[in-house]
Amino acid sequence: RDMMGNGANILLKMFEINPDTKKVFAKFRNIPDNQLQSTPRFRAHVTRVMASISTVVNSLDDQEVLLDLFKDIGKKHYPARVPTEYFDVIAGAILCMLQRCLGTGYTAEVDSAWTKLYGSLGRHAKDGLREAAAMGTP
Amino acid sequence: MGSLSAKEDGTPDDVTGLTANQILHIRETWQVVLSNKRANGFAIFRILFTDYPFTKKLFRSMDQVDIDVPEQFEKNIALRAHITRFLHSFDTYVSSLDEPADLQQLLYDTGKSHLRHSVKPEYFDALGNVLMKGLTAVLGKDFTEEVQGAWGTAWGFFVIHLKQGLEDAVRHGAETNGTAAGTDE
Repeated sequence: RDMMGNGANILLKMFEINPDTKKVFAKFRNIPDNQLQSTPRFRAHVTRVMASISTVVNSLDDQEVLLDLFKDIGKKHYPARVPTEYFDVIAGAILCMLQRCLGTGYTAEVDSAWTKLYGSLGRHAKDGLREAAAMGTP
Repeated sequence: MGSLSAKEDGTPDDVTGLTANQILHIRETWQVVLSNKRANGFAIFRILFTDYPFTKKLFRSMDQVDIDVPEQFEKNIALRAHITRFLHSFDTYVSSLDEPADLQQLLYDTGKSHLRHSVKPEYFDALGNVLMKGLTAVLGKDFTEEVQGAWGTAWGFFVIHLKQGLEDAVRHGAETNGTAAGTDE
């Protein structure tokens, strides 16, 4: 219901958990956190992260496409040389955002489902990232 | 929110050229496209590969696919995944039609991201024709002159920034000989 707001909170939470994660964003790493939500490049990344999650959620019934989506997420992060561990950091930030958003609706079942999803996504994204690195694509 | 130009009274936005009414038309008809993502997504790409066969080689293993053989086309996983990403990506543009700065950034970044896929800036022009043909097929008589005009204006804006992103990436790549260690994300 609030893609931009909740999405921004994911990234901001990630920067809070591990400030190094902000450094890979060459174009806005020097902009203070409280100004990011009005920065087009930050907003664009938020939009893409949320669109990515939407795409995944919409494709849960298509295993083969899901795998491709997960790996593609990884590949896309290679140009910025994002360390593989950062996928774990954002996973934590996403679960945090969901907890905030859903409140009591964030049951053990919900937690288990999203944790499982992100476990899989993270694994395959890291593979995609490693593959891109091995291929030496720009 | 949205820019301060008086879109409420039918004035075109001075960045995108779109009126509030046109944005409405686009959003309504886009929902129709989304109501059957798989079929409509494939329809659009079928038109692309039929009218611009050279684009097939841009997609993993599409060269071996005969688009006239039933299901062979739809069974290509990499393509299916790309179509899904394409539709969701396009959806972010439609959602941002009233936020020109955001829209421009999204388009620019998408253009840039196509560098590693050997896409040339002029290929995006092909997509414009494909989009109009695809919308005609999907919407039928609902693709009125008014709706067509709205999409035409929107696409006119999209294509500028898609191409700009890619052109800049090409130039940057040439300047640094592809050794750039970072990205402007």
